[in-house]
Amino acid sequence: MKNQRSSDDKFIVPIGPQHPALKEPGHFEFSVDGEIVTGATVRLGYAHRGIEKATEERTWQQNAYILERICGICSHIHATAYTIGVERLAGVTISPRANAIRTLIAELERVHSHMLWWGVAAHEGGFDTLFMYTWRDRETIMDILENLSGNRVNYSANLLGGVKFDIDRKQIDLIHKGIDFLEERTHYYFKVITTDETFLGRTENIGTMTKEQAETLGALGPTARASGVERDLRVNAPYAAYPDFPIKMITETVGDLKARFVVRLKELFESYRLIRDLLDNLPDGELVVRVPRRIPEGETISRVEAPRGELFYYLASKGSDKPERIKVRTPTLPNWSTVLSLVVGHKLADVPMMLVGIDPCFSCNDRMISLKRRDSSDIWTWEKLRQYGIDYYK
Amino acid sequence: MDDIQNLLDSAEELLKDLGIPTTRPEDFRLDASVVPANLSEVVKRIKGSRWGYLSTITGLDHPEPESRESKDRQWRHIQDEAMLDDLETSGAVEILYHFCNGAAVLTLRLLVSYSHATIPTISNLFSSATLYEMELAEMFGVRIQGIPEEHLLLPEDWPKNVYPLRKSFHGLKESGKH
Repeated sequence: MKNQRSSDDKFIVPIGPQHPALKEPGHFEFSVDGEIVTGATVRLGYAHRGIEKATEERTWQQNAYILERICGICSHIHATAYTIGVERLAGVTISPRANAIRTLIAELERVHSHMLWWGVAAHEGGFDTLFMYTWRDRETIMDILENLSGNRVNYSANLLGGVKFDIDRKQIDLIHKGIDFLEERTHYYFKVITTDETFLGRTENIGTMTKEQAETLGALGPTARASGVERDLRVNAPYAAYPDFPIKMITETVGDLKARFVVRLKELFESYRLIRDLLDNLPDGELVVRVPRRIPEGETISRVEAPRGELFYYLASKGSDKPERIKVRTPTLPNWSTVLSLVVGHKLADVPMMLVGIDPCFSCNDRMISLKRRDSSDIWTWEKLRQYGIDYYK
Repeated sequence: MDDIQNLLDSAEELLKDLGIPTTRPEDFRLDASVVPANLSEVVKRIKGSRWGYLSTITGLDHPEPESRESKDRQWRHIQDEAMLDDLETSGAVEILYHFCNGAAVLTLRLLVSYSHATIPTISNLFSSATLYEMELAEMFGVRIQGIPEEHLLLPEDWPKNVYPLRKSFHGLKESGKH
């Protein structure tokens, strides 16, 4: 994807796919005139795994697991979008308790995702101590998730028809304690991003996106909300337990990097409030209801609010035990176009922070394993890859 | 719920005089069948009236040819004779443009046969479409006029005319020397 401003580009700086700043693979070419960026292109696919194709050869049940593995940060939200869609196609309504637990895990996930991003952003800005602090604090959530599900990242809380585990009194107390600690820490972090002079130097009036631009470029999630665009599916089209446990939409108006930071941190407070509310008012109900193995013919669209913005699932069934087609559009993809447009006119040194400002997630937008060895390239089939995994851990 | 209906009504109103067949498959969705010739006009109207944003573009592969005489025809709404001739001998790709506005989703459905799979870009109107269109071109073999013909997601050495999201694709040969 290209965004060229002038034909008299002086120099092209290629960045990636392996680069010192971002820990994920993406290739960018920035044409520069001196220090000023005049154009930007992106090449993706370095982590493309062909998951959409893979889903067509697996059962509806198996797909819940494979789709959850699209992303190691917002894994739960993928499974949520998928299960809500499948349940709609099957005509199944899940219990209020299952919905509440789904929502609770989603908000815990949002907290750890935002904390992770906040650490990466600090690192890109050159504040490695802050990066260490935030990632230490984030462990609080990781421990809670491990305690609830047995896993730190792919918690597999969602099943078709409900959730896998319940939450007991002891766990409720544990979450309360963790949230109390994090809330206090977040107040401190909020002070840092709004008052620390060196940090403001990297964020204030950088990468400013007007409301108009955000709307036309199709920005989503916190990136859009920082420019005053009211897009949050938890409010616009409430799903799971959000109709009963409403959440307040956080928006800012300035639209610069600082605003994007402020929106995410303010959202943390709103998530803490909702998590407490859910824990204190957990409704009763069965954890899981039966969903048929064969899903009735039809198609549906399931949209949920992932930590990075709207996550879009299109599901089509022809009445068999395997889907006809599953399309996944993650929020990072539309947010790229905002960066490619906004970097033009900025200093090259601001580019890393602007990339990080949208909280990009590469496993999200790439979904084949291709190994390159000197002069030949090998492509591994799923079966070969699976066998490799089994042999490796023998 | 009223809000969603109002939004869907306004979308329907927008397309009314173009004679585009519409359906409401679910209470929050409006589907409209477009053809390559009127795609740009429809998208221009959506943009002009600021009805929502382009959420994504989905490709669907329909590998089976369809006879005009068949009882349970899928493509009843297609009237273009040349297109119907095509569909009798080759499979087709259906392209869905999803526009979202709050909880409402407007989907433009566009069908092209394998042999005439060329459509105009909408990236001149919605710049975020470029990435989706490049993905669609690579994965389904749809030629999109007006976007760079280069890889976005697939490797540089990916063989020509192999489209992984078509149903006929079952992986490249083992060992993968190509």
